[in-house]
Amino acid sequence: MSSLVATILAVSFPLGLAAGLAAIGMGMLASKAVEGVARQPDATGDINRMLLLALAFIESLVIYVLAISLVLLFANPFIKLIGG
Amino acid sequence: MVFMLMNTAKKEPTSTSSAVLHIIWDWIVDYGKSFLGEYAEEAMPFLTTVFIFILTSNWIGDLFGTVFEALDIPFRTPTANISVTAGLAIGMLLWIHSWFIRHFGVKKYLKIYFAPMWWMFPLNILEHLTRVVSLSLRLYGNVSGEHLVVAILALLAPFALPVPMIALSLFTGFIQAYIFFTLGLVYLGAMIEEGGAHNE
Repeated sequence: MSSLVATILAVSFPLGLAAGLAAIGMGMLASKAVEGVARQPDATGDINRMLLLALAFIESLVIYVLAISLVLLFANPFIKLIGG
Repeated sequence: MVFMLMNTAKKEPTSTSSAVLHIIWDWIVDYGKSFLGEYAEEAMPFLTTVFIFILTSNWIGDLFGTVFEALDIPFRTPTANISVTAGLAIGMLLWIHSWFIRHFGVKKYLKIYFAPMWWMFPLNILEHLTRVVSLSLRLYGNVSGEHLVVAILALLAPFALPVPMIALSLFTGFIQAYIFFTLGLVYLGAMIEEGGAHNE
């Protein structure tokens, strides 16, 4: 297996996995937030704020994977070791 | 810019535009009060400036990227560069810490690192360092990831298909600027809660 194929696999699978799992978490979060708003419309502002913050925290985990993927794709430090 | 806005807002509104500014500023300060309490009025101008700066940086590439490309100007979205976002995050954190020292003194500032127990010191240091990393990586990853998607779509179908993606990119750009601004607020609020409030 050439290192190009290896890199592409190593980039795409974890990113897809991370995005999917984070989407599950975000879905749970959003459904609970919508329930909360439906039950207590007065607290919409507070719930909205917390929802956005929590979404940002979940999203940042995916972003870490994306950053690793970008490094592996465009600035791979290991490519010299295995010689292309 | 926001200092100007604030000065205008302090006076009584005389024209329609200054009344509108007044309303917007009141709204921003109200938002800040939910995190900072009484300190919102002094902390918000800087944070709002950061918000406006990041927002324009995020949008400038989406809105005028093709123009720069056509005119051969080597200009890319500033926040799609890791150095810029790292600089912003470090500056933000330095500002938060210096703001805290200015308002509560060095003693209370040092106490934060040893709260709630003295052996939590390394964890506290680690916490403040990870904040910088996560702030900068989040902004960088979102903006440059969005640009990558637009670039790949433009490669696949150069006509009209990237346009909705660019619209989505505008939306994410706004959300990211808002998140950066709010996290700055949250970190400052948490610091005040930890160090300033319960020791008085």
